[in-house]
Amino acid sequence: MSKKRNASLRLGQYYPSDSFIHSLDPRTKLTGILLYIIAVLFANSFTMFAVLYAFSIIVIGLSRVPVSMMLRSIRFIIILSVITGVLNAFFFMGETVLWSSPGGLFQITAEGLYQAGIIILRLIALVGFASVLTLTTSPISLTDGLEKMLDPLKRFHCPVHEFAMMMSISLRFIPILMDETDKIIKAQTARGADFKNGSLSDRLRCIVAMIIPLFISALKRAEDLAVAMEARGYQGGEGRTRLKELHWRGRDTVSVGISLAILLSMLFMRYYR
Amino acid sequence: MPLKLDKVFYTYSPSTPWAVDALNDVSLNITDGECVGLVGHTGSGKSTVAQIMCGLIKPDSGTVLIGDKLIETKTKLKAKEMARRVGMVFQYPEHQIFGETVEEEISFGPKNLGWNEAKIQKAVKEILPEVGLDASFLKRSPALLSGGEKRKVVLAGVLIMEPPILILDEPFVGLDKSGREDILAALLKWQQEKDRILVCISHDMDQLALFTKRIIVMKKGSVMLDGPAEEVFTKTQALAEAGVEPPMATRLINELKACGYDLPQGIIDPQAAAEAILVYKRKRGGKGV
Repeated sequence: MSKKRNASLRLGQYYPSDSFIHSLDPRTKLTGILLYIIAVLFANSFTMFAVLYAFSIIVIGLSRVPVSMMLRSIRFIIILSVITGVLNAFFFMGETVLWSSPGGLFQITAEGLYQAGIIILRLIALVGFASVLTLTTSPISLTDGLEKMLDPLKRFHCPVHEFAMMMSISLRFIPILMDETDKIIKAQTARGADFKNGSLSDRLRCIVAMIIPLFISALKRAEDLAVAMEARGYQGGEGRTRLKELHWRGRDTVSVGISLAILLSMLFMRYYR
Repeated sequence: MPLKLDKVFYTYSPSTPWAVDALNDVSLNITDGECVGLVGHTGSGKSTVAQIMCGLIKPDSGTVLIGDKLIETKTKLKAKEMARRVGMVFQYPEHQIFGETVEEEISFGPKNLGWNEAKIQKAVKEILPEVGLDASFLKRSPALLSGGEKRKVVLAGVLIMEPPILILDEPFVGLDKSGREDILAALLKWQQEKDRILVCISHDMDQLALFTKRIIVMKKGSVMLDGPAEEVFTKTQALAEAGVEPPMATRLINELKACGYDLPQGIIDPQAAAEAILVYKRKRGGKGV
């Protein structure tokens, strides 16, 4: 069953659909994300976050990725940022003390709470929006977009194409290796290997029995792929044509424009109000 | 140890765009001493059934009964407990070979079951000849063996745990004739010794026709045909629908019958086909056909 995907690991998993967001050029999405990230870093009030979250919700709506899927992919980050936020609330030194622990080691201040809120909002906004990128853009078009955007660096003899190729190969191999890990775990489980229970040394033995076949197979695959590429005359980026050309369209210009507007409005709200 | 599947359903990646309904209301009943061939087109659900049978995955609904062990959707499975009942040999030995020596490789299973060192050593020595290998292999590296030898090592690694039920996924693919014969001999000996169950997934109908008594044909996650090999393999029409080609001998007999030769039904292996043709010739007075 090669179609099988590991359901628990969905951070950075592509969700196929034909929504407006999916149809944008990867360069647009990369630029948009970059502008949004800068905007998030400038945001320091709840009003500003309200604007940014409204924008993200519209984008997520347009992407037609089910909300449940979206939440599942950032669930871990939500937990992490809440923990970070709570720690911040305890350690931020403010003036309006609301509560103080016996001995005064920890205290919660109004400023601390405010700061914690901002940090939580910021982390979730960053990761949540970034996951829209990976949910709506296939890894291949993402690397295509990156390669195209970094094109100018080629003038400085930077091996942009090679980096992009390495990235797409590694992205391509993630699901394959996950599938393979699944098969190996099953094969060893059928031999009585228990990865969940048992003593430390028993479990260690089982993990070795999983990792060695996985490494051998990864190396074997790498070798096969290298031979296959060379056999077809692959020699890097020079003069190479593409199966899918990237097309910049009107909607891309508009989308980048909107992202830029968001960033500018954040700067405005921060410095001129 | 009888094996029973009752109204089993299974879906891969449920409630995602990649959801695949792999099994659709599968009920099977396999009793002690049976030697079963599980066939079907790619994606028909054979491998999923196999994994359900050995408790690697649990049914989304329905029940699996392995001896006295009942498996439902919420059952907590222990690898050891399952490995004592069902042995499964996967298609690619590369997916499980990790040991530095054949000895280490074969003793992995028994170690997981918690056998003591002396018992393991004795069992390892005894199991090698069963699969057609000799003691000289013990200290060799399994990674450097040939494909057929790796297959034998893997088989030994499962047989050593003495599971009453053995499931094999494509055990004959990529082997030469002598490799196939060795593996088959080992399997049959093991199966007949204690009335054990043997379930064999294969695309090689000729090979299955040689030793399985019962054939289960799967199509799109359901059992399409289930019966004695002689009956199933001669249902040409239904087999074609499931994307399965009958064994060579059956096809030969069918072709001859279509040309007007009066030959018996239910011939699946070359030996029987040859005998039927000889009988026919003799009836005609030995003057050729």
